[in-house]
Amino acid sequence: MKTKLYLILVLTGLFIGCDKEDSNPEIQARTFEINSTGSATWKYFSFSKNDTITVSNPLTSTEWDLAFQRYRIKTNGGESGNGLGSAANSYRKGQAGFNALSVIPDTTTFVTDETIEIAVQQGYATYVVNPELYTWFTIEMATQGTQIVPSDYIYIVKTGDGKYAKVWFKSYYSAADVSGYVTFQYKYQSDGSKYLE
Amino acid sequence: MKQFLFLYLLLLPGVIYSQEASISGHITGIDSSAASGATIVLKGTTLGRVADKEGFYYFNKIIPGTFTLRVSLLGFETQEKTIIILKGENYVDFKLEETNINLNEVVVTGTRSEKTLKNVPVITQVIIARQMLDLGITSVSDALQSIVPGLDVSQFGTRTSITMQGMDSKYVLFLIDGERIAGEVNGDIDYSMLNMENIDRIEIIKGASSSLYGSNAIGGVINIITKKITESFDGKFYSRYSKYNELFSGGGISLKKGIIGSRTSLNYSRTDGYDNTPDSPHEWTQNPYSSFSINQKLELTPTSYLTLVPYFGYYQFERGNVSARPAHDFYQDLNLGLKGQYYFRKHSFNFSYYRDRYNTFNVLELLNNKNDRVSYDIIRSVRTQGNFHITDKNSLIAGLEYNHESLFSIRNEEGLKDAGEAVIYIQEDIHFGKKWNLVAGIRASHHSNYGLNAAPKISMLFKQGSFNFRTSAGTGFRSPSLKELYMNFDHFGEWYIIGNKELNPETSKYISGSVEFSRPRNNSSVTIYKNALSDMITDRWLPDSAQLTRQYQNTASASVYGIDFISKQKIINRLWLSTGYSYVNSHDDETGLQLYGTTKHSGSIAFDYNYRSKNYSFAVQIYGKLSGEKFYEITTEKIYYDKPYSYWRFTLSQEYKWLRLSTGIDNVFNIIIPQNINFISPGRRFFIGLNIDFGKIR
Repeated sequence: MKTKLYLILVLTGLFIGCDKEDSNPEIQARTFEINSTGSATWKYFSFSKNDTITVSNPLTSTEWDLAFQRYRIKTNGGESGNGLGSAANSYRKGQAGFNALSVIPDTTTFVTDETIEIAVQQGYATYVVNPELYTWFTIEMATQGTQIVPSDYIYIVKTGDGKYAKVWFKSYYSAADVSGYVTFQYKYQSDGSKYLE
Repeated sequence: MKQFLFLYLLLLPGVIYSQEASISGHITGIDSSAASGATIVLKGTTLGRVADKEGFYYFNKIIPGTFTLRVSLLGFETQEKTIIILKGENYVDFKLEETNINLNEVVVTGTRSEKTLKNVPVITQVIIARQMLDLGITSVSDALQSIVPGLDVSQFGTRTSITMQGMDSKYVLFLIDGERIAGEVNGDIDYSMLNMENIDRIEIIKGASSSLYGSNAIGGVINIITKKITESFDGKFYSRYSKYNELFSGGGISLKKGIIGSRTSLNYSRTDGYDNTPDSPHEWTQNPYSSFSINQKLELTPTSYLTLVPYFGYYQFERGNVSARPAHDFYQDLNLGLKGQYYFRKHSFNFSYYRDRYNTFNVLELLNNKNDRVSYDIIRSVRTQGNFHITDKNSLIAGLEYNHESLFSIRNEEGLKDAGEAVIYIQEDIHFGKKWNLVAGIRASHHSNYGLNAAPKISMLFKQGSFNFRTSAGTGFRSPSLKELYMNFDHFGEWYIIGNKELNPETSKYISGSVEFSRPRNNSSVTIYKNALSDMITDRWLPDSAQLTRQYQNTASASVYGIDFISKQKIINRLWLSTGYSYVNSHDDETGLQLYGTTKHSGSIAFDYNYRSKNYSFAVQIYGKLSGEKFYEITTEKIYYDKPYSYWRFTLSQEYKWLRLSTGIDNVFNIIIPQNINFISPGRRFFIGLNIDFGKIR
């Protein structure tokens, strides 16, 4: 049924966004706060489980979809893993952008993980991250160190097993004002289609 | 000698009222009109009077002897008369002269004893409350930046920071009535804690004064003197409003009856804030805040020879949240103390106890605004000082002091950390003839962390005609702060910064010379100075540590030299011109870099027109500050600087009897430099101010 609807929509090129209410009533917007306070370990997250998971070998596992370490984020692909994971920036922003992104445009270019160089206190450090998802925040200098400010972009994430989700990274601080707690809101399409509403 | 004095002390109370005398007189001001409101102090006693509406004053129950009467009134030259008071009635009249340069103004900071400006061997700059009012000044940091050449105020995010003579605030000691202020962060106290309504004057001394005040008095001392209680009733209210809902408001009430005087002072300020840098929307140029403080003091004079002043102060500050965090700052301070002074013949003895606690909290907005403790800092100090008037040309000060500080901070090692310091200081003040005055002192201390330390200082004043020549040489020091000793801060696991319990104090050698030209219509001075610092504490990368770690070490040394010029002169009748210029060159001996935040050239200019009659006064001020580049040199490649700027303020105020209205323009030429942190104006702003003097409604 979902596949049929998808085909009709693609063929006609019409009604995009009009039928979103009845198209997939089971897709729910969820919000998750992940504790990624450790600066040496990665925390693995699975959209289908809506939870963090333990992964014995992240390079071979396709279970996980996103991995977090402080503000750095990986997808399960490229240099980070054997999965089909990658990410793209929709360049939509905020709640309105989140709502409006109902289907992934065909023109979307997905980017896989690679090594990037980041300026740190002394020289440079290299990390394997998803370069697209490295734009989820900006750094603003403040008195008490630096503050991580969400850029509010809505990202399209391709999961380890090749499905899609739209993700909005909303905050870097827990309710107790501890940094390294990334809160994100997402909608995960479990049927593998490009419909996110 | 001391036993001798003590014996007299015991005998004294019986002597007081054995023979009685009274002193009365008339004080006149402009065109022989009554100088009502003038303050008359009988030096060497606790006695003080305020001239009544007709300009008369009266003291009774005085023991005959030689006394000095000091008369002061705002806008007039302070006068002193030394007279022999005989049994019975004595009459002493005063005729006051109008002036804008009051060199008879009494200052206390330079020698820890009362001296007039013209006689103090350490060049002292004074900002009086009236001056701040005339300039439309709203905070202590604003006053300092506006009036003191070579003093800069910067805004590092939410933190206000000062530099003076090329030295940052770690090396400038801030005092309130001679007491240290708790809650310093990187050397900066919370300047908004300083209740403007409670300030009588601010005294500024540049250069080393550690011989009297101990740690941190390397670059200078800024001492805020709070208002005294002189009149039977005095009430004041002020308010100033400007764009961004910026409000500064406050009031004070003084009451005096018999042996009890009371002064209550309130201060409230707030703003919605503004942001000059829209590309970083969560980091504002001026954060929104609201702040409140109350100060209460009592002045008890059970005899004419004893004053006791118990006092307390409370302050709180809450910052509005514009950040990406679900939390905001809340600061709180509670201080209390007792000061006493006992006069004995021509000697006097002071004692004081003081306690100040400063708390900082993080208010967690998502958790019912729970106050999460970040740090608290407690300073305690107890002191006793004897002021011995040996002869008219020789006086001696000797003091004992114990200081203690304890600090809890989530950025330090666990638990409450503390340090104590026991101190003895002595200062000799000798006059040679009428022209020479020499003041020499030494302070020896034992600190719980690093042991013994001594700081000597010598100052000399030579007067020749209209010229005063001064020279000072001394050592300064700065004890390692509790933060530098015990810090343990994990920068998100990426790098660490840790304290060092082996730290020694930083030391400095300071020398200065100044020439002052002093005439009733012109007062100008030039000061040159050199300051050499060694064992400076800086945080350095530790080699070969598993984690990237910075640790505080006594490694750096620096040289600072410069010149300051200040002048005030009468151009035509009622029109005065004030100018100031400062040049400073400071460099790290190893790297050759300027010390962080140095402004080499800065200057100020002010035109001040003042018309005063009995019931009405009118004042116009045009004030300009000019600043060269301000350097933030980190390495030879990383050199940032603030752009040069000029800032102008125009103020017009009128006073009729008890009411004063002022209007003005801040930043007249609408200069906005978003990237600067030493100049954080949002552009041109108009302001209006209202002052009511309830003491005059009668």
